Amino acid sequence: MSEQKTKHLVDDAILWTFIDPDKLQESEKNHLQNCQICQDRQTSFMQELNEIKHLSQEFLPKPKLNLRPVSITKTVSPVFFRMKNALAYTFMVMICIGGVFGLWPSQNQIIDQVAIEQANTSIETMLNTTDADYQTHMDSILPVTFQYIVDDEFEIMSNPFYDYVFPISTLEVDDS
Amino acid sequence: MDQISGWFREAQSGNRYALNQLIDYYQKDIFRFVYYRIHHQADAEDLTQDIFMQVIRRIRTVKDHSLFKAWLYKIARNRVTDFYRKKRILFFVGTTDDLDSDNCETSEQDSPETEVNKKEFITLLKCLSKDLSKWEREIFLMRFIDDLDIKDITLALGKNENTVKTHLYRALQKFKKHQKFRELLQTSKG
Repeated sequence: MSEQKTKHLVDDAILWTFIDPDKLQESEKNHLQNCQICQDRQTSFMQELNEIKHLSQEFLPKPKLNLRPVSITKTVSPVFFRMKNALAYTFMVMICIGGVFGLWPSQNQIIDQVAIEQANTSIETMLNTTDADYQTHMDSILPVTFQYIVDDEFEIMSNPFYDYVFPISTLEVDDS
Repeated sequence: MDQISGWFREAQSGNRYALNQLIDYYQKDIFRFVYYRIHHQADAEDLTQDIFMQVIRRIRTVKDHSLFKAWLYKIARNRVTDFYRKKRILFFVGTTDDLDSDNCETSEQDSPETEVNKKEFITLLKCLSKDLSKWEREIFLMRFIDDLDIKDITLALGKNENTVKTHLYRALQKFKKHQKFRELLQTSKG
C-alpha cells in the first residue's frame, strides 16, 4: 500500500485520463484518487488543454458576413436551374449555328445597309427639292398681278381658255 | 439538447424558423472549425456558408437527431478538404502563389497586445500542427478546439473509436513536448 502511494503515475497514464479513464488500472485509479501530486499534474495539464479552447474562442475574428446562407429565405427548385441552364445552352448553340451559316449580318453587310439607307434619303430629298422648284416655276408663268385672280388649282396645260389664247401649235417649234 | 433535437425535427419537416435557429446555434462553432484549419477569414466565411447550404439541402437525409452534430462536422471537414484540394490544383496550375497561407488577420478593434498574443497563438498552433500527422492533427483540433467528444469525432471521421483514441494519445504526447506552446498557454492561464 505504501509502495502504491509513493509510486506516482507515469506521464502516459496521466494522458490516458483525458482520453479514456477506463483504460487505467485499478491501482492507478486508486492512486490518482489519493495522491495530491498526481491530481495537480492532471489538473495543470487539463487547464492547458482547456486554455487552447478558450484562446481559440477569444482570438476568433468576428465574421463580417452573415453566415446564414441567403437561399434559406427564398427557395428555388433545382428543376428551375436545370431548365434555365438548358435554355441558356440552347440559345448559345443557336447563336453559334446562326453565325456559322451566315444568318446574322456581318459588319460589312451592316455598313452597306447604312450606306444604302443614306443614299435613299438623299435621293428622296433631291427629288422633293426638284419637285418644289418645278411647281414654283409652273405657278409663276403668269405675271404676279394675275396670279392673285386665278385659283390655286390652276393648271395651265389643261385649261381650254389658254389653249384658245395660246394655241399649242404656235408654241411648237417648227423643225423645218 | 432537447431544444436542438426539436429544431432538428421541425427543420426536417420544412420549418424555416427551426432551420434558422439550428444554423444560428451552430454557425459560430462551424466558423471556428473552418477558421482554425484554413486561417483566412473571408474564405472561412464563404466555406461556412457553403457548409450550411449543404446542410439545408441534405438535412432530410439524416435519420437520427443524435447524429446531427457529427454529420455537420463531417460536412465541414469534407468542405475544408475540398478547399485545400482546389487550392493545390490552383497552385499547380499557377494561378495562386501560396499553398499554405501564413496570413494572420488582425481586427481593428484588437489592442496591440491582443494582436501579438493572437499571432503567437496561431503561429504556435500551426507549428504544433506541422509536427502532428494528418489524423492526429484532425483529432486533436476536433477534441480541444472544437470541443467534440470522442463519440462525435468517431462518427464525423468514420473511424474506429480505438483508432481515434490512439491518434489522440499520440497527439497529446507530441503536444506535451511542445514547451513553447505550453508556456504560452500557462502564461495566458495565469
